[in-house]
Amino acid sequence: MINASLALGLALAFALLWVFFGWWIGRRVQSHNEFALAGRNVGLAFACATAMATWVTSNTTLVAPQLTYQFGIWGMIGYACAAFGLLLFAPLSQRIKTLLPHGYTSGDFMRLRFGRFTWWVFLLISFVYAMSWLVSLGMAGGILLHTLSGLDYHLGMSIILLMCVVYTLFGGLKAVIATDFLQAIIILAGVVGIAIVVAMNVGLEPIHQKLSSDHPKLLDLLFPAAVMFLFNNIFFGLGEIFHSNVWWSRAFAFKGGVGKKAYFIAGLLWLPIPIVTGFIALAAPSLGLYPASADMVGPLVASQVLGYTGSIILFIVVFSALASSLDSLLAATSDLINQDIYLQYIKPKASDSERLKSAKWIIVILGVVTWLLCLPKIATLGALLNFAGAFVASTIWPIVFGLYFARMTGNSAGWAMLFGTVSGLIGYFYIGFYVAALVSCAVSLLICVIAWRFSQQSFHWQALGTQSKVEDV
Amino acid sequence: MWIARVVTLVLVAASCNGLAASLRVSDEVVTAGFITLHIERTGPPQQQSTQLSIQHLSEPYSLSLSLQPTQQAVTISGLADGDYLATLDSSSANSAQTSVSFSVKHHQLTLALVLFVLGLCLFVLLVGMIVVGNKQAHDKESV
Repeated sequence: MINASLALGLALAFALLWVFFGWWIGRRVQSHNEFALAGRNVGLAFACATAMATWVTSNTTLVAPQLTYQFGIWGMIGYACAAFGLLLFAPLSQRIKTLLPHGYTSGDFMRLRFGRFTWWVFLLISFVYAMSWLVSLGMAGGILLHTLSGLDYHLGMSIILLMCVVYTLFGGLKAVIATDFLQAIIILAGVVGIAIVVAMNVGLEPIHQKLSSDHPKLLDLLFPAAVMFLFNNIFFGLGEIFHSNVWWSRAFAFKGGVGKKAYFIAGLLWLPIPIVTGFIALAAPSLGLYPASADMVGPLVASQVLGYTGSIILFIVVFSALASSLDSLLAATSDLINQDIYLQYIKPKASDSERLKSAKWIIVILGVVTWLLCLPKIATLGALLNFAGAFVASTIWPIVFGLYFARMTGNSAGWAMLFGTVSGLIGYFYIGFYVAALVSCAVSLLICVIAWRFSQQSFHWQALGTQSKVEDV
Repeated sequence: MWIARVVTLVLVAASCNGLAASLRVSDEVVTAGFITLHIERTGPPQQQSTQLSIQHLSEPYSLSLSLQPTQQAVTISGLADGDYLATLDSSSANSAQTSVSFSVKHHQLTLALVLFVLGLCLFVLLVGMIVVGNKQAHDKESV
């Protein structure tokens, strides 16, 4: 364990570094287009780094060990399968850029493709998800600092939130992508280093023996809850990426032809990371470590195995991972509110500078709301995130049908999301958090197929490009 | 099975005198093999670690672990089906034992496999639709 004053010093030093870097990157950002979409000119290297770093988050560094600790081998594999989200979004990102070359948000697509009812349902789902993710990231910051140093949860959580709000304010998506690039390098180097040290210090044989005798279900491939969890996690990851403006705004921001390659490479780079972070949770029982809460198992084992220096490295890696996701989510959610609420209902004829100003205010408000919601630690990270799974998995089919099949039109996409979400929540409360996304996705598909089969209309794809161009002007 | 339950109740009742700490579970029956045991400590803070043992009431399974003096909860995972008795035993001479029982009853494997197959079918369908949709879109763009 590192002492509290060193942890505080490290957190503040990193906060200052990222804020300075954000200011330096963003000092020439003058227009809303540059602030929200980095001038729509992001190249392959930055694109890969931002996609990978954003997907390495509290999910991968804290929740992957948690779910491995709870579900064993399937938990680890299931988490790694969340890479399918990035891999399958690769072709979608190309289609998005082709259909909506002047688009800003995922909300733009829903409004223009399916109309206002579906758009409102989609916005509701997006905000529930965005707030769940933001709160889980803020909580993860507090839990991390507390586990590694004993520093007060509220102080740690406040530092990471304040830091991300400030540097996102300075540079918008440009600063977010640039910091993501550096954070991706830190995360990859750190994770590889931790994996090597853990493999050298804890043998596979003692881990296997301890798990076989004391925690047999963790190695059981027919562990019922874990079997249910596998595809649930895949669809949760798919839903997160397919619907979230975090990924759509990057698809719009990347240069033409870059998105498909970038998301594919990022998916491949991301795939082994949960295996590494999950593996260390399996070592916990053989080290005699039993956490108070399952989401603390990753930092607990790493700090025990890696010692003092290792704890510092782990701290830096997880801090970078959290920051890279928090800033992305703040920027993307701010864009969504700015474009879909402010511009649609509050000030449709806002000038470029007014849009820039409102985007910054929204980031501040989001930061404050997240901070307030993080104050009471309401659930474990895994449970909180998987609650959102019921919402996001319902969007997968409406988005796929909406992007590729012209006969899917109107309100049916909204009903598919609504019924999918309600069914997922019923599954969440009656069976467990590990089925919410799967149930939601299945019900949503059923409604989409019925609507598609009986639809008499056909959507004209050109309308998307033309309408988004008119709105952009 | 009823004998095991009676023994559990007797042990719990016997452990209620002179407690320095007590055990509590949020769910008496768990379906995913993991459980969090909450330790409610009373009196002055202890310096020594606390021993927690978990025993299966009908099979020869026993898990013993050492908890930090300040630890207020512990999460155990990967437990097989059955009734368990968790016993907290402080190494302090002034402290008494305290126990709590809980059951692990995993979901039915049939339900899990049905959901697994459903997930697999949905996934294959999704990949197929994206591949077909992309191909059709690409063909139309080429024309």
